[in-house]
Amino acid sequence: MRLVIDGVSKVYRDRRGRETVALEDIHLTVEEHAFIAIVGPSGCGKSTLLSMVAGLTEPTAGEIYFEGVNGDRPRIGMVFQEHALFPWRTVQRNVEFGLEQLGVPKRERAQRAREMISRVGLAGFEDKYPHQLSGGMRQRVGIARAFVVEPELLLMDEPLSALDAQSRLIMQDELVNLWESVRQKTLYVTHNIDEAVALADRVVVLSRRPGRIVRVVDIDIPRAERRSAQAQGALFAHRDAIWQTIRHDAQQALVEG
Amino acid sequence: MPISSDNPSGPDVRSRVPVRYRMHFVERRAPAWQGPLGIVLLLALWQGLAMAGVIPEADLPSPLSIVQAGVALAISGDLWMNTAASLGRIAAGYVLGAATGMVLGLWLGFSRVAERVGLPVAGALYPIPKLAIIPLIILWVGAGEASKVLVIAAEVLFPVLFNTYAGVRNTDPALLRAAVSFGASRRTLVWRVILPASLPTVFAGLRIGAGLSLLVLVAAEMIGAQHGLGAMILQYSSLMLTANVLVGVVVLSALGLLISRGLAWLERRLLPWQAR
Repeated sequence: MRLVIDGVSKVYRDRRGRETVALEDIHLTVEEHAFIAIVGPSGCGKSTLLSMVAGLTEPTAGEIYFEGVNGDRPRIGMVFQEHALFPWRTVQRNVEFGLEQLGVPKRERAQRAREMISRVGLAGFEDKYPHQLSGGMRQRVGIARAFVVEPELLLMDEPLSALDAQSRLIMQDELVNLWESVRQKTLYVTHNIDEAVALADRVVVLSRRPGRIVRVVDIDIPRAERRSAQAQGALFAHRDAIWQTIRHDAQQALVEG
Repeated sequence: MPISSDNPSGPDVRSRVPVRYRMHFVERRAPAWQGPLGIVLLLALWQGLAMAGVIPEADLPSPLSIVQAGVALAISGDLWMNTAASLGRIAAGYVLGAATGMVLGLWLGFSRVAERVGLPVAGALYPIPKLAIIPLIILWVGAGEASKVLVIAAEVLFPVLFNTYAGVRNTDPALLRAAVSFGASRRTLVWRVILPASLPTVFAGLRIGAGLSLLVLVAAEMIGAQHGLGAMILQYSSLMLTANVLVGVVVLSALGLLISRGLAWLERRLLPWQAR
Protein backbone atom coordinates (compact mmCIF):
# COMPACT_ATOMS: atom_id res chain seq x y z
CA MET A 1 0.00 0.00 0.00
CA ARG A 2 1.20 3.47 -0.76
CA LEU A 3 0.06 7.03 -0.25
CA VAL A 4 -0.35 9.23 -3.30
CA ILE A 5 -0.60 13.00 -3.15
CA ASP A 6 -1.79 13.88 -6.63
CA GLY A 7 -1.65 17.49 -7.80
CA VAL A 8 -2.77 18.94 -4.50
CA SER A 9 -3.14 22.69 -4.01
CA LYS A 10 -4.39 24.75 -1.12
CA VAL A 11 -5.54 28.32 -1.49
CA TYR A 12 -6.61 30.39 1.48
CA ARG A 13 -8.98 33.26 0.90
CA ASP A 14 -9.22 36.04 3.48
CA ARG A 15 -12.29 38.19 4.17
CA ARG A 16 -11.48 40.69 1.48
CA GLY A 17 -11.21 37.89 -1.02
CA ARG A 18 -7.44 38.07 -1.29
CA GLU A 19 -5.92 34.73 -2.09
CA THR A 20 -2.85 33.15 -0.60
CA VAL A 21 -1.58 30.08 -2.37
CA ALA A 22 -0.24 27.93 0.46
CA LEU A 23 0.51 24.88 -1.66
CA GLU A 24 0.62 24.50 -5.40
CA ASP A 25 0.43 21.33 -7.43
CA ILE A 26 2.10 18.94 -5.00
CA HIS A 27 2.85 15.48 -6.35
CA LEU A 28 4.33 13.04 -3.89
CA THR A 29 4.18 9.29 -3.47
CA VAL A 30 5.05 7.67 -0.18
CA GLU A 31 5.97 4.04 -0.69
CA GLU A 32 5.86 1.29 1.89
CA HIS A 33 8.59 1.70 4.55
CA ALA A 34 9.63 5.15 3.30
CA PHE A 35 10.53 7.86 5.77
CA ILE A 36 10.01 11.18 4.04
CA ALA A 37 10.85 14.48 5.64
CA ILE A 38 9.23 17.65 4.36
CA VAL A 39 11.41 20.70 4.91
CA GLY A 40 10.77 24.32 4.16
CA PRO A 41 10.83 27.82 5.57
CA SER A 42 7.97 29.01 7.72
CA GLY A 43 4.88 29.67 5.71
CA CYS A 44 5.64 27.06 3.05
CA GLY A 45 2.51 25.08 3.82
CA LYS A 46 4.29 21.96 5.03
CA SER A 47 2.01 21.53 8.01
CA THR A 48 -0.99 22.16 5.81
CA LEU A 49 0.11 19.32 3.58
CA LEU A 50 0.29 16.95 6.53
CA SER A 51 -3.03 18.18 7.76
CA MET A 52 -4.61 17.39 4.40
CA VAL A 53 -3.16 13.88 4.39
CA ALA A 54 -4.75 13.32 7.81
CA GLY A 55 -8.10 14.59 6.56
CA LEU A 56 -8.01 17.63 8.84
CA THR A 57 -7.82 20.21 6.06
CA GLU A 58 -9.60 20.14 2.73
CA PRO A 59 -7.48 20.53 -0.40
CA THR A 60 -8.56 23.24 -2.85
CA ALA A 61 -7.54 21.06 -5.77
CA GLY A 62 -6.07 17.64 -6.35
CA GLU A 63 -6.51 14.35 -4.62
CA ILE A 64 -4.94 12.35 -1.85
CA TYR A 65 -5.46 8.62 -1.77
CA PHE A 66 -4.11 5.29 -0.64
CA GLU A 67 -3.32 2.71 -3.29
CA GLY A 68 -3.49 -1.01 -2.77
CA VAL A 69 -5.66 -0.92 0.32
CA ASN A 70 -7.57 -4.02 1.28
CA GLY A 71 -10.42 -3.22 3.58
CA ASP A 72 -10.85 -0.21 5.80
CA ARG A 73 -9.31 3.23 5.91
CA PRO A 74 -5.63 2.78 6.75
CA ARG A 75 -4.70 3.43 10.36
CA ILE A 76 -3.04 6.79 10.86
CA GLY A 77 -0.91 7.79 13.82
CA MET A 78 -0.20 11.47 14.15
CA VAL A 79 2.22 13.37 16.38
CA PHE A 80 1.63 17.07 16.92
CA GLN A 81 4.08 19.87 17.62
CA GLU A 82 2.36 21.06 20.79
CA HIS A 83 1.66 17.49 21.91
CA ALA A 84 -2.13 17.95 21.78
CA LEU A 85 -2.49 15.54 24.68
CA PHE A 86 -5.87 15.46 26.36
CA PRO A 87 -5.20 17.23 29.65
CA TRP A 88 -8.00 15.37 31.47
CA ARG A 89 -6.59 11.98 30.57
CA THR A 90 -3.71 10.31 32.31
CA VAL A 91 -0.69 9.17 30.32
CA GLN A 92 -2.20 5.69 30.12
CA ARG A 93 -5.59 6.93 28.91
CA ASN A 94 -4.00 9.33 26.43
CA VAL A 95 -2.07 6.50 24.84
CA GLU A 96 -5.23 4.39 24.78
CA PHE A 97 -7.21 7.03 22.87
CA GLY A 98 -6.45 5.80 19.36
CA LEU A 99 -7.06 2.21 20.37
CA GLU A 100 -10.46 3.19 21.76
CA GLN A 101 -11.41 4.65 18.39
CA LEU A 102 -10.37 1.39 16.74
CA GLY A 103 -12.63 -0.56 19.08
CA VAL A 104 -9.82 -2.51 20.73
CA PRO A 105 -11.16 -4.31 23.85
CA LYS A 106 -10.39 -2.69 27.16
CA ARG A 107 -7.96 -5.25 28.49
CA GLU A 108 -5.89 -5.44 25.30
CA ARG A 109 -5.94 -1.66 25.09
CA ALA A 110 -4.52 -1.27 28.57
CA GLN A 111 -1.89 -3.90 27.88
CA ARG A 112 -0.72 -2.42 24.58
CA ALA A 113 -0.67 1.10 25.98
CA ARG A 114 1.41 0.01 28.97
CA GLU A 115 3.93 -1.70 26.72
CA MET A 116 4.23 1.35 24.49
CA ILE A 117 4.56 3.71 27.46
CA SER A 118 7.37 1.55 28.73
CA ARG A 119 9.05 1.56 25.30
CA VAL A 120 9.16 5.36 25.25
CA GLY A 121 10.72 5.28 28.72
CA LEU A 122 7.72 6.44 30.73
CA ALA A 123 7.07 3.30 32.79
CA GLY A 124 5.84 4.44 36.20
CA PHE A 125 4.21 7.58 34.83
CA GLU A 126 1.03 5.88 33.59
CA ASP A 127 -1.23 7.64 36.09
CA LYS A 128 0.24 11.13 35.73
CA TYR A 129 -1.64 13.91 33.99
CA PRO A 130 0.07 15.84 31.16
CA HIS A 131 0.51 18.97 33.27
CA GLN A 132 2.66 16.97 35.66
CA LEU A 133 5.16 16.07 32.93
CA SER A 134 8.05 17.94 31.32
CA GLY A 135 7.91 18.96 27.66
CA GLY A 136 10.05 16.03 26.56
CA MET A 137 7.94 13.55 28.51
CA ARG A 138 4.75 14.96 27.06
CA GLN A 139 6.06 14.49 23.56
CA ARG A 140 7.00 10.90 24.40
CA VAL A 141 3.37 10.38 25.32
CA GLY A 142 2.37 11.96 22.02
CA ILE A 143 4.72 9.61 20.17
CA ALA A 144 3.47 6.60 22.14
CA ARG A 145 -0.13 7.55 21.36
CA ALA A 146 0.69 7.53 17.64
CA PHE A 147 2.83 4.37 17.55
CA VAL A 148 0.54 2.25 19.72
CA VAL A 149 -2.14 2.02 17.03
CA GLU A 150 0.43 0.29 14.78
CA PRO A 151 -0.20 2.93 12.15
CA GLU A 152 0.07 2.16 8.47
CA LEU A 153 0.92 5.81 7.98
CA LEU A 154 2.78 7.94 10.51
CA LEU A 155 2.36 11.68 10.34
CA MET A 156 4.63 13.83 12.46
CA ASP A 157 4.21 17.59 12.49
CA GLU A 158 7.34 19.19 13.96
CA PRO A 159 7.25 16.69 16.81
CA LEU A 160 10.54 17.80 18.35
CA SER A 161 10.54 21.53 17.73
CA ALA A 162 9.00 22.47 21.09
CA LEU A 163 11.94 20.80 22.86
CA ASP A 164 15.26 22.25 23.92
CA ALA A 165 18.29 21.41 21.77
CA GLN A 166 19.59 18.60 23.99
CA SER A 167 16.26 16.90 24.54
CA ARG A 168 15.74 17.11 20.84
CA LEU A 169 18.95 15.21 20.04
CA ILE A 170 18.02 12.51 22.54
CA MET A 171 14.50 12.23 21.19
CA GLN A 172 15.81 12.04 17.62
CA ASP A 173 17.76 8.90 18.52
CA GLU A 174 14.81 7.43 20.35
CA LEU A 175 12.55 8.17 17.43
CA VAL A 176 14.95 6.45 15.04
CA ASN A 177 15.01 3.34 17.23
CA LEU A 178 11.27 3.28 17.60
CA TRP A 179 10.76 3.83 13.90
CA GLU A 180 13.21 1.08 12.94
CA SER A 181 11.11 -1.36 14.95
CA VAL A 182 7.97 -0.58 12.94
CA ARG A 183 9.35 0.73 9.63
CA GLN A 184 6.03 2.16 8.51
CA LYS A 185 5.73 4.83 5.89
CA THR A 186 6.16 8.21 7.42
CA LEU A 187 5.71 11.86 6.59
CA TYR A 188 7.77 14.04 8.89
CA VAL A 189 7.41 17.79 8.76
CA THR A 190 10.20 19.93 10.15
CA HIS A 191 11.90 23.26 9.60
CA ASN A 192 15.08 21.77 10.98
CA ILE A 193 17.38 20.61 8.19
CA ASP A 194 19.67 18.65 10.53
CA GLU A 195 16.72 16.75 11.85
CA ALA A 196 15.40 15.95 8.40
CA VAL A 197 18.79 14.70 7.22
CA ALA A 198 19.30 12.65 10.40
CA LEU A 199 15.96 10.87 10.19
CA ALA A 200 14.68 10.59 6.65
CA ASP A 201 15.40 8.45 3.60
CA ARG A 202 14.24 11.27 1.42
CA VAL A 203 13.97 14.97 2.06
CA VAL A 204 11.38 16.93 0.10
CA VAL A 205 12.12 20.65 0.04
CA LEU A 206 9.27 23.09 -0.30
CA SER A 207 9.44 26.72 -1.41
CA ARG A 208 7.46 29.45 0.23
CA ARG A 209 4.22 30.98 -1.03
CA PRO A 210 3.31 29.27 -3.14
CA GLY A 211 4.61 26.07 -1.57
CA ARG A 212 6.04 23.96 -4.37
CA ILE A 213 8.37 21.02 -4.29
CA VAL A 214 11.65 22.59 -5.36
CA ARG A 215 14.03 19.77 -4.57
CA VAL A 216 14.09 16.13 -3.54
CA VAL A 217 17.21 14.87 -1.79
CA ASP A 218 17.73 11.17 -1.19
CA ILE A 219 19.77 10.37 1.90
CA ASP A 220 21.23 6.99 1.02
CA ILE A 221 23.36 6.55 4.13
CA PRO A 222 21.90 3.93 6.52
CA ARG A 223 20.41 5.67 9.53
CA ALA A 224 22.61 3.73 11.94
CA GLU A 225 25.76 5.09 10.28
CA ARG A 226 24.78 8.75 10.15
CA ARG A 227 26.59 9.54 13.37
CA SER A 228 29.88 8.12 12.11
CA ALA A 229 32.77 10.38 11.11
CA GLN A 230 32.87 8.94 7.56
CA ALA A 231 29.27 9.92 6.90
CA GLN A 232 29.70 13.54 7.87
CA GLY A 233 31.05 14.74 4.53
CA ALA A 234 28.12 13.37 2.56
CA LEU A 235 25.63 14.55 5.16
CA PHE A 236 27.13 18.01 5.11
CA ALA A 237 26.73 18.14 1.35
CA HIS A 238 23.07 17.19 1.68
CA ARG A 239 22.44 19.73 4.41
CA ASP A 240 24.15 22.45 2.43
CA ALA A 241 22.25 21.62 -0.73
CA ILE A 242 18.95 21.88 1.16
CA TRP A 243 19.96 25.09 2.90
CA GLN A 244 21.07 26.75 -0.34
CA THR A 245 17.68 25.85 -1.81
CA ILE A 246 15.59 27.46 0.91
CA ARG A 247 17.92 30.16 2.12
CA HIS A 248 16.39 32.94 0.08
CA ASP A 249 12.84 31.93 1.06
CA ALA A 250 13.81 31.69 4.72
CA GLN A 251 15.19 35.22 4.62
CA GLN A 252 12.00 36.35 2.96
CA ALA A 253 9.95 34.62 5.67
CA LEU A 254 11.90 36.43 8.36
CA VAL A 255 10.96 39.79 6.88
CA GLU A 256 7.35 39.13 5.95
CA GLY A 257 6.40 36.83 8.83
CA MET B 1 44.35 22.26 41.12
CA PRO B 2 40.65 22.94 40.90
CA ILE B 3 39.39 23.76 37.45
CA SER B 4 38.27 27.32 37.36
CA SER B 5 37.49 29.75 34.64
CA ASP B 6 38.35 32.82 36.62
CA ASN B 7 41.20 34.25 38.58
CA PRO B 8 40.08 35.13 42.12
CA SER B 9 43.39 36.53 43.29
CA GLY B 10 43.42 39.16 40.59
CA PRO B 11 45.83 42.03 40.47
CA ASP B 12 43.87 44.62 42.43
CA VAL B 13 41.73 43.19 45.22
CA ARG B 14 41.16 46.58 46.86
CA SER B 15 39.16 47.95 43.96
CA ARG B 16 36.75 45.03 44.18
CA VAL B 17 33.00 45.81 43.98
CA PRO B 18 30.93 42.85 45.23
CA VAL B 19 27.72 41.93 43.45
CA ARG B 20 24.91 42.12 45.94
CA TYR B 21 21.76 40.09 45.64
CA ARG B 22 19.12 42.66 44.82
CA MET B 23 15.89 40.72 44.48
CA HIS B 24 15.00 40.39 48.18
CA PHE B 25 12.23 42.91 47.81
CA VAL B 26 10.56 40.93 45.03
CA GLU B 27 10.92 37.57 46.70
CA ARG B 28 9.75 38.50 50.19
CA ARG B 29 7.19 36.09 51.59
CA ALA B 30 4.95 36.37 54.65
CA PRO B 31 4.68 33.27 56.87
CA ALA B 32 1.34 31.44 56.98
CA TRP B 33 0.64 32.12 60.66
CA GLN B 34 0.13 35.77 59.80
CA GLY B 35 -2.99 34.87 57.87
CA PRO B 36 -5.62 35.09 60.67
CA LEU B 37 -3.83 38.05 62.23
CA GLY B 38 -5.93 40.71 60.52
CA ILE B 39 -9.23 39.21 61.59
CA VAL B 40 -8.06 38.64 65.16
CA LEU B 41 -6.72 42.19 65.48
CA LEU B 42 -9.87 43.69 64.02
CA LEU B 43 -12.07 41.73 66.45
CA ALA B 44 -9.87 42.69 69.39
CA LEU B 45 -9.92 46.35 68.42
CA TRP B 46 -13.68 46.24 67.94
CA GLN B 47 -14.21 44.56 71.31
CA GLY B 48 -11.84 47.00 73.02
CA LEU B 49 -13.56 50.06 71.57
CA ALA B 50 -16.97 48.66 72.55
CA MET B 51 -15.84 47.95 76.09
CA ALA B 52 -14.29 51.41 76.37
CA GLY B 53 -17.62 52.85 75.36
CA VAL B 54 -16.33 54.45 72.16
CA ILE B 55 -18.82 52.51 70.02
CA PRO B 56 -22.37 52.53 71.44
CA GLU B 57 -23.59 48.94 71.83
CA ALA B 58 -26.92 49.87 70.20
CA ASP B 59 -25.28 51.00 66.94
CA LEU B 60 -22.67 48.31 66.63
CA PRO B 61 -22.71 45.49 69.18
CA SER B 62 -19.37 44.08 70.26
CA PRO B 63 -18.21 40.71 68.94
CA LEU B 64 -18.93 39.08 72.28
CA SER B 65 -22.50 40.43 72.28
CA ILE B 66 -22.95 39.02 68.78
CA VAL B 67 -21.73 35.62 69.97
CA GLN B 68 -24.12 35.80 72.92
CA ALA B 69 -26.99 36.78 70.66
CA GLY B 70 -26.03 33.95 68.30
CA VAL B 71 -26.08 31.41 71.09
CA ALA B 72 -29.47 32.68 72.25
CA LEU B 73 -30.87 32.53 68.72
CA ALA B 74 -29.47 29.06 68.26
CA ILE B 75 -31.02 27.82 71.50
CA SER B 76 -34.41 29.35 70.67
CA GLY B 77 -34.30 27.58 67.30
CA ASP B 78 -34.81 30.84 65.42
CA LEU B 79 -31.43 30.69 63.77
CA TRP B 80 -31.81 27.13 62.51
CA MET B 81 -35.26 27.71 61.14
CA ASN B 82 -34.20 30.79 59.19
CA THR B 83 -30.93 29.30 58.00
CA ALA B 84 -32.71 26.15 56.87
CA ALA B 85 -35.27 28.20 54.95
CA SER B 86 -32.49 30.14 53.20
CA LEU B 87 -30.47 27.01 52.47
CA GLY B 88 -33.48 25.31 50.94
CA ARG B 89 -34.14 28.25 48.64
CA ILE B 90 -30.58 28.79 47.59
CA ALA B 91 -30.05 25.08 46.91
CA ALA B 92 -33.21 24.76 44.84
CA GLY B 93 -32.65 28.02 42.97
CA TYR B 94 -28.98 27.35 42.37
CA VAL B 95 -29.48 23.83 41.08
CA LEU B 96 -32.36 24.90 38.86
CA GLY B 97 -30.49 27.91 37.46
CA ALA B 98 -27.16 26.11 37.01
CA ALA B 99 -28.75 23.09 35.33
CA THR B 100 -30.80 25.26 32.97
CA GLY B 101 -27.79 27.46 32.26
CA MET B 102 -25.63 24.46 31.42
CA VAL B 103 -28.23 22.90 29.12
CA LEU B 104 -28.85 26.18 27.28
CA GLY B 105 -25.13 26.90 27.14
CA LEU B 106 -24.45 23.51 25.58
CA TRP B 107 -27.25 24.07 23.10
CA LEU B 108 -25.86 27.45 22.08
CA GLY B 109 -22.39 25.94 21.90
CA PHE B 110 -23.34 23.03 19.68
CA SER B 111 -26.06 24.38 17.42
CA ARG B 112 -25.12 27.09 14.95
CA VAL B 113 -28.77 28.15 14.64
CA ALA B 114 -29.26 28.29 18.40
CA GLU B 115 -26.09 30.33 18.62
CA ARG B 116 -27.20 32.84 15.98
CA VAL B 117 -30.71 33.21 17.35
CA GLY B 118 -30.22 32.54 21.04
CA LEU B 119 -27.07 34.49 21.78
CA PRO B 120 -28.62 37.94 21.21
CA VAL B 121 -31.61 36.89 23.33
CA ALA B 122 -29.40 35.75 26.19
CA GLY B 123 -27.30 38.88 25.76
CA ALA B 124 -30.38 41.06 26.11
CA LEU B 125 -31.74 39.24 29.18
CA TYR B 126 -28.43 38.95 31.00
CA PRO B 127 -27.98 42.62 32.04
CA ILE B 128 -31.49 42.91 33.52
CA PRO B 129 -31.04 43.06 37.30
CA LYS B 130 -33.07 40.03 38.29
CA LEU B 131 -34.29 41.81 41.42
CA ALA B 132 -36.16 44.22 39.17
CA ILE B 133 -38.41 41.46 37.93
CA ILE B 134 -39.32 40.09 41.37
CA PRO B 135 -42.69 41.89 41.25
CA LEU B 136 -43.39 40.23 37.89
CA ILE B 137 -42.37 36.85 39.18
CA ILE B 138 -44.60 37.29 42.22
CA LEU B 139 -47.42 38.22 39.87
CA TRP B 140 -46.89 35.00 37.92
CA VAL B 141 -46.25 32.43 40.61
CA GLY B 142 -47.40 34.16 43.79
CA ALA B 143 -45.34 35.39 46.69
CA GLY B 144 -44.49 31.89 47.95
CA GLU B 145 -41.31 29.83 47.79
CA ALA B 146 -41.43 29.55 44.02
CA SER B 147 -40.83 33.27 43.51
CA LYS B 148 -37.61 33.23 45.53
CA VAL B 149 -36.35 30.05 43.93
CA LEU B 150 -37.07 31.40 40.46
CA VAL B 151 -35.33 34.71 40.96
CA ILE B 152 -32.24 32.96 42.29
CA ALA B 153 -32.35 30.57 39.35
CA ALA B 154 -32.67 33.49 36.91
CA GLU B 155 -29.62 35.14 38.42
CA VAL B 156 -27.48 31.98 38.38
CA LEU B 157 -28.58 30.94 34.90
CA PHE B 158 -26.74 33.53 32.84
CA PRO B 159 -23.17 33.32 34.07
CA VAL B 160 -23.41 29.54 33.85
CA LEU B 161 -24.95 29.75 30.39
CA PHE B 162 -22.31 32.09 28.99
CA ASN B 163 -19.45 30.19 30.53
CA THR B 164 -20.71 26.84 29.31
CA TYR B 165 -21.16 28.27 25.82
CA ALA B 166 -17.69 29.80 25.87
CA GLY B 167 -16.21 26.54 27.16
CA VAL B 168 -17.72 24.59 24.29
CA ARG B 169 -16.77 27.10 21.62
CA ASN B 170 -13.25 27.64 22.90
CA THR B 171 -12.27 24.00 22.98
CA ASP B 172 -8.64 23.87 21.88
CA PRO B 173 -8.78 23.11 18.14
CA ALA B 174 -5.52 21.18 18.49
CA LEU B 175 -7.34 18.65 20.68
CA LEU B 176 -10.16 18.34 18.17
CA ARG B 177 -7.65 17.76 15.39
CA ALA B 178 -5.80 15.18 17.44
CA ALA B 179 -9.02 13.33 18.20
CA VAL B 180 -10.14 13.38 14.56
CA SER B 181 -6.72 12.23 13.35
CA PHE B 182 -7.19 9.08 15.43
CA GLY B 183 -10.60 8.51 13.88
CA ALA B 184 -12.88 9.97 16.56
CA SER B 185 -16.57 10.10 15.66
CA ARG B 186 -18.74 13.15 16.16
CA ARG B 187 -20.18 11.56 19.26
CA THR B 188 -16.73 10.93 20.69
CA LEU B 189 -15.77 14.52 19.93
CA VAL B 190 -18.73 15.84 21.89
CA TRP B 191 -18.57 13.52 24.88
CA ARG B 192 -14.88 12.73 25.12
CA VAL B 193 -13.28 15.98 23.98
CA ILE B 194 -15.53 19.05 23.97
CA LEU B 195 -17.37 18.38 27.22
CA PRO B 196 -14.33 17.57 29.36
CA ALA B 197 -12.42 20.44 27.76
CA SER B 198 -15.16 22.92 28.69
CA LEU B 199 -15.59 21.80 32.31
CA PRO B 200 -13.08 24.27 33.82
CA THR B 201 -14.92 27.17 32.18
CA VAL B 202 -18.27 25.78 33.32
CA PHE B 203 -16.93 25.68 36.86
CA ALA B 204 -15.87 29.30 36.63
CA GLY B 205 -19.48 30.11 35.75
CA LEU B 206 -20.71 28.05 38.69
CA ARG B 207 -18.46 30.04 41.02
CA ILE B 208 -19.73 33.39 39.73
CA GLY B 209 -23.30 32.12 40.01
CA ALA B 210 -22.77 31.04 43.60
CA GLY B 211 -21.72 34.52 44.66
CA LEU B 212 -24.67 36.11 42.90
CA SER B 213 -27.15 33.61 44.30
CA LEU B 214 -26.41 34.66 47.87
CA LEU B 215 -26.95 38.31 46.99
CA VAL B 216 -30.29 37.67 45.32
CA LEU B 217 -31.37 35.31 48.10
CA VAL B 218 -31.06 37.97 50.78
CA ALA B 219 -32.70 40.65 48.67
CA ALA B 220 -35.61 38.39 47.74
CA GLU B 221 -36.11 37.41 51.36
CA MET B 222 -36.13 41.04 52.40
CA ILE B 223 -38.73 41.91 49.79
CA GLY B 224 -41.20 39.39 51.06
CA ALA B 225 -40.64 36.28 53.12
CA GLN B 226 -41.74 34.94 56.48
CA HIS B 227 -38.51 33.12 57.15
CA GLY B 228 -34.95 33.09 55.93
CA LEU B 229 -31.83 34.98 56.86
CA GLY B 230 -32.82 38.05 54.85
CA ALA B 231 -36.22 38.20 56.52
CA MET B 232 -34.63 37.61 59.91
CA ILE B 233 -32.19 40.46 59.44
CA LEU B 234 -34.94 42.84 58.34
CA GLN B 235 -37.20 41.82 61.19
CA TYR B 236 -34.59 42.26 63.92
CA SER B 237 -33.39 45.53 62.52
CA SER B 238 -36.91 46.96 62.70
CA LEU B 239 -36.88 45.86 66.35
CA MET B 240 -33.50 47.60 66.79
CA LEU B 241 -31.95 44.26 67.89
CA THR B 242 -28.64 45.01 66.17
CA ALA B 243 -26.80 42.08 67.73
CA ASN B 244 -29.33 39.69 66.19
CA VAL B 245 -29.01 41.47 62.85
CA LEU B 246 -25.27 40.91 62.93
CA VAL B 247 -25.76 37.22 63.77
CA GLY B 248 -27.60 36.97 60.47
CA VAL B 249 -24.79 38.80 58.68
CA VAL B 250 -22.15 36.51 60.19
CA VAL B 251 -24.12 33.40 59.19
CA LEU B 252 -24.39 34.76 55.62
CA SER B 253 -20.66 35.36 55.52
CA ALA B 254 -20.04 31.82 56.74
CA LEU B 255 -22.53 30.48 54.22
CA GLY B 256 -20.82 32.30 51.36
CA LEU B 257 -17.44 31.01 52.43
CA LEU B 258 -18.80 27.47 52.77
CA ILE B 259 -20.33 27.52 49.31
CA SER B 260 -17.19 28.81 47.61
CA ARG B 261 -14.98 26.35 49.51
CA GLY B 262 -17.41 23.55 48.69
CA LEU B 263 -17.27 24.40 45.00
CA ALA B 264 -13.49 24.57 45.08
CA TRP B 265 -13.41 21.14 46.75
CA LEU B 266 -15.81 19.73 44.19
CA GLU B 267 -13.71 21.15 41.36
CA ARG B 268 -10.55 19.57 42.74
CA ARG B 269 -12.34 16.23 43.03
CA LEU B 270 -13.97 16.35 39.60
CA LEU B 271 -11.11 17.95 37.65
CA PRO B 272 -7.94 16.52 39.19
CA TRP B 273 -6.17 17.03 35.87
CA GLN B 274 -6.09 20.81 36.03
CA ALA B 275 -2.75 22.48 36.55
CA ARG B 276 -2.87 24.58 39.69
